[in-house]
Amino acid sequence: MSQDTTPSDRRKAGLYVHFPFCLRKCPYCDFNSKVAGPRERDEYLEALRREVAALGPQWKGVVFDTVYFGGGTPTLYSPKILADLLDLLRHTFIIEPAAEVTVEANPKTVDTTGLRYLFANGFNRISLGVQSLDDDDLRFLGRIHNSADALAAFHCARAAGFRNINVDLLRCLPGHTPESWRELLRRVVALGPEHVSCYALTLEPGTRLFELYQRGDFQMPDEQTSLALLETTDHVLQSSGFERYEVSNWAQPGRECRHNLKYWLGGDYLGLGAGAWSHRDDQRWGNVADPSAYIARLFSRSSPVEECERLPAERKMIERAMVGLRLVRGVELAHLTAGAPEEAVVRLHRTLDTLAKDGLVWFNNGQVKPTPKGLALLNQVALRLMEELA
Amino acid sequence: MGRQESIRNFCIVAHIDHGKSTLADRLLEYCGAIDASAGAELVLDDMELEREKGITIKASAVRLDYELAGRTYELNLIDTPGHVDFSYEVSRALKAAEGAVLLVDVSQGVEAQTVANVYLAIEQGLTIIPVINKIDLTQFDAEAVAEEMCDVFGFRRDELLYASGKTGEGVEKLLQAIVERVPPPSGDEDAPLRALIFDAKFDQHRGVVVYLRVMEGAMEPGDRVLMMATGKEFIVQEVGVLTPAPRPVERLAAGDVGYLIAGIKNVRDSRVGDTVTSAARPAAQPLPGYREPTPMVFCGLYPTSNDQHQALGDALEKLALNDAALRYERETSAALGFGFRCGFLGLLHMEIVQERLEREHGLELIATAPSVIYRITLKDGEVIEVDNPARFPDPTRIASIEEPVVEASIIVPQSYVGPCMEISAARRGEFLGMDYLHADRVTLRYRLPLAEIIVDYFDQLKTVSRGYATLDYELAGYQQADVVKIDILVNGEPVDALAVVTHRSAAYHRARAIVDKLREVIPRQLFRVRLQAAIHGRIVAARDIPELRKDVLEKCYGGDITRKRKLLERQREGKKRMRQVGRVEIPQEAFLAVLRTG
Repeated sequence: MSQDTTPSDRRKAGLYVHFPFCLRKCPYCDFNSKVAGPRERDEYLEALRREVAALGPQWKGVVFDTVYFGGGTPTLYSPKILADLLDLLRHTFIIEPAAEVTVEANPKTVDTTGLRYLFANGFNRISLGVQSLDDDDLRFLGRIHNSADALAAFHCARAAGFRNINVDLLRCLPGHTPESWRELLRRVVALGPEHVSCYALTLEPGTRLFELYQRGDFQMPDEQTSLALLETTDHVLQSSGFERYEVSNWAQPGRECRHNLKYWLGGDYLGLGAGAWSHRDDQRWGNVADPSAYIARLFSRSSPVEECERLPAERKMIERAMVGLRLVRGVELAHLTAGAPEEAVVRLHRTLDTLAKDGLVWFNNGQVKPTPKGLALLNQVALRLMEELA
Repeated sequence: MGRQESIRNFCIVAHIDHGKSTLADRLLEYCGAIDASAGAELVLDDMELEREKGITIKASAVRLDYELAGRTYELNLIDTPGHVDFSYEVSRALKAAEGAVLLVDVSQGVEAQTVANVYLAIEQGLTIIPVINKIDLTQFDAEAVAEEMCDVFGFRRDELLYASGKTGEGVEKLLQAIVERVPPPSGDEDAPLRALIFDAKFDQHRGVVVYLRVMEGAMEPGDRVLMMATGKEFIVQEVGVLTPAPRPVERLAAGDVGYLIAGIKNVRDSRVGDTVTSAARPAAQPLPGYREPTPMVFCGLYPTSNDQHQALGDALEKLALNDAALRYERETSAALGFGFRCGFLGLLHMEIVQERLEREHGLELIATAPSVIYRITLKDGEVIEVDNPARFPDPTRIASIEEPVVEASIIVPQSYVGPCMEISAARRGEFLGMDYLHADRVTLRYRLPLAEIIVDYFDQLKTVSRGYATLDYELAGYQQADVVKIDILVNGEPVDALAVVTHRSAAYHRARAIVDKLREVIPRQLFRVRLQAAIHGRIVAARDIPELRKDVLEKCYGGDITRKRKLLERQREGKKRMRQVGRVEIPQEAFLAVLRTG
C-alpha cells in the first residue's frame, strides 16, 4: 500500500509557480499558456520575483514541503534562471530541505547538461510532457517533439540524476485501439518512470482541435473503446508495479506526487504567477490569467489577485468530497466533516448512504472511497452531493 | 364648433419593433401629456415582458390635447396589440377609432403584421395616415419604402408623412394630419347608451377599470349600466379620461374615449368587445362583433417541486385578474403530481403566461405539450369532453371522437400560395376558397383541425412565405376525428404527462419521432432507460438510452477546482428544471418533445 500523507504533512503547504509560455500552442490545449517573445518572458520573470518578494511576509509561519514549476513550458527558461528562482523561493519561504521539487519539461527543450544543472540545484522530480510515443499521434497533437525526442529526454533525465520521473500520456486519440495502446504503454513502462499521468484526450471548446472536430476532420474513439482504453491503461500499469492512486495518476510505491495530493486532500498551497491559484484555511484565490495583465499589475505594485472566494462550511465539504473522492483510497469522513455544522454532517451521512446503495462509494469505518463505478462517474457523485447539501 | 368636431380617435398600427411606442411617446410629449425630461419611459408599454417580446399585450388609451390654428382638439390615442392570438383585441381597438396611423420602419419596409393590420383597419373603414418612421436613420432609402407603401396599399405620394420617434421630427405634421384627415366621430348623444369595451384592467384599489369608446348616448356617475353580453348591471362610480394619468370627468358622451369605474370586481364581467348600455334605457342591439374569449389551447402546468403547488395556484389567480381569457383548474398527474390544466387563446398567450409565472412569481414550471378539447362519445351514449390526453378513456369504451376545427384565413403574397396550400393540406386542411386582394395578395381560407394548428403551423407558414403570411382563425365547431392516443412508457411505466393524441394516419410516424426525440433530450442516467411508444396497448416504437458510464474530469489541480465546482453548480441549476419520474430525470424539453411530428 502506498505511503499515506500524515496529518502533519497535510499541514505543510505546497508552492506552485506558473510559467505561461510555450514555443508553440498545441491545438488541443486549453491551459493558461501562449507563445511570447523574449521581452515578455523576461518581464514575466521579473514580475514573478516581485510577487515572491511581496508575499514572503504573508507566509512566514508556513512550512512548504513541495514545490512545483508548471506551465506552459517552464523549461523555456534556462536552467540557471529556474535554479535561481528556486533559490529565491528558498530564501523567501520556509521550504523543507527534503521537499519534493518538480519541474515540468517539454521533451524538446531539455538536454543532459541542463537537466544535470537543475538536479544539482534542488530539483528532484521531473514531469515530461511526452503524451505519446507514436509519431502520428504527436503530429496530430501538434507537439514540437517526436518519439525519438521523447525517449532521449527520458534518458537525459536519468543521466542527469533524476530518480523521480513522471511521464504525461494522452489516450483516446483517433485510431487508438486497446491493442495499439497496450503496445505504446509497454514501451513507456519499459523506460522505467516512477510515475505516469494518463489523461483521455478531451476536446475543449475554443481550441483548434475542437474546431477541426466540429468540421468533421477526424473521429474520436467511441465510448466502448474509450472505456477499454482506460482499462488497458490500468491493467498494463498495475501489472508493472504502478498503483492507480487518482483518477488519472499512477505511481510506483511511495512515488505519488506529494504536491498534487495537497489539491486533493484540501491542503494549503500558494500559487505564484499568471493564473495561479492559492488556498489557505477557508480562502481560495487566483491570479489574473493573462500574462501581460499579470506583469502590468506587479509592475505597478498592485496585487495580481483577480478572483477570491471564501469557502463556507457546506461548500468546503462538497469540495473536499469532490476532489477527495478522486483518490482511489478515498478520504476520511472526518476530513469531509471538519468544521461543518451538525445538520450538514447528518445530511452528508444520508447522502453517502444513498451513494453507497447506488454502488458509487464505499462508506464504512470512517472512510469514504469511490467504487470503480463511482470513480468513473465522479461528476454525478458531486452533483448528488450538491443537490443534497447545498 | 360642436363637441364632436374637435375629437379625433385614432390608433397606431405597426409591425413589431417599428417604433410605435417611441413615436407615441413623442406625440404625448408634444402635447404636454408627459414631461420630456421624465426620460425614455415608454408610456404605453407596461411590462418588461412586453418589451422583450417586442409586443404590446394589452391595449391602452391616452388623451392628448392639441392646439391647431387657435382651436384645441382632443386626440384619443388607442393602443393596439398585434399578434394572431390577440387579433380580436386589435379589431375591437380599431373599432373604437376613426383613423389609423400606419407606421412603417424605414429600415424594414412593409412587413407582414403591417399588412394584416392595415387590412383590418381598411375593413373597419378607418382613414389611414401612412407614416414612414425612423427617418433619423439616414442610411436607409426612405423613397424606396415610400414606393413600396404606395404600391402595396395604393397611397398617393403626397399622402405619406415622414417622422422619427427618436428625434421628434415630423411629429407636428403628423398631429396636424390627424386633425385634418381623420374624420371626427359622430353618434347621437341623446340616443340610448352604447359604449364599446376595448380593454379592461384590474386595479388593486379601484377594481376593474374599463376602457371604452362611447358610440351613442352618454354616461355619468350615478348611472346604472348594463353589460349586454353578460347581463350584469353596475352603478357608475367614476368616468374619466387618461392624460395618461386618470382624470375624472363629468360625463362621457358619443365620440369620447375614456374609462369607467363601476365597482366591478372581475375582469370577466367587462368583456372586450362587449357593449355597455343603460340599464334604465337599454339599447335595442349591442354593437356588432362581440366574441366570447374562448380558450382554445390547453396545457398542464406543474411546479418542478411539489411545495410550490400553492404558490402556482396563487400566481394563476393573480394573473387571471387581468386576463379574462385565461382558464385554469386543478389537475393531478401520476407522473408530475399536483398541477393545473390551463386554457389559453393560443400558443403566444400560453408562452406569455408561462413566462410571467416564472419571472414575476419566481416559479419553476414544467409545461406539458399543448392540447385541444376532444369530444368523446362513449359506447353507452355518454358524451364527455377531454382536454388532457392522459384522461382519454379506454379505447374499448369509445364510440366516436370529435375534435375542434377552425376556419383560418391566411393572407399571403401570391407567390407563396403554393407552399402555404401544401402545408395546410398536410395539416388535414380543407380548402374553402381563395380571394384576391389588393397588390398581389391572396386570402386563403381553410378549415383545419385546431390540433393541427397549435403546434407550429404559423411558424411553418411564416417560414415558407419569408414572414409575409398572416394568420387569423376562429373556432368553427367540431368534426369527427379518427384520432388515437399515443402512450409513452419509460422503463415500462406509462408516463401520463407525455401522452399525446394524434390522427391515426400519422400515429406510427409520430410515435417513432417522439421516441427519437425523447432519446435525444432525456439525459443519460446511471442505469439504462427504455423508451417505448404504445397505441392501444401495442408497442409501436422503442429506443434505449444507454447507461452513463463515464462522467469525470480528467485533470483536477489547484486552478481547476473552483472552475469545476462552478460548472457543476450550473449543471445542478439545470437539473432543477427536471422532474423525477420514477427514477428517471426528465427535463422540460421532453414534455414538449411529444409535439414532434417527425
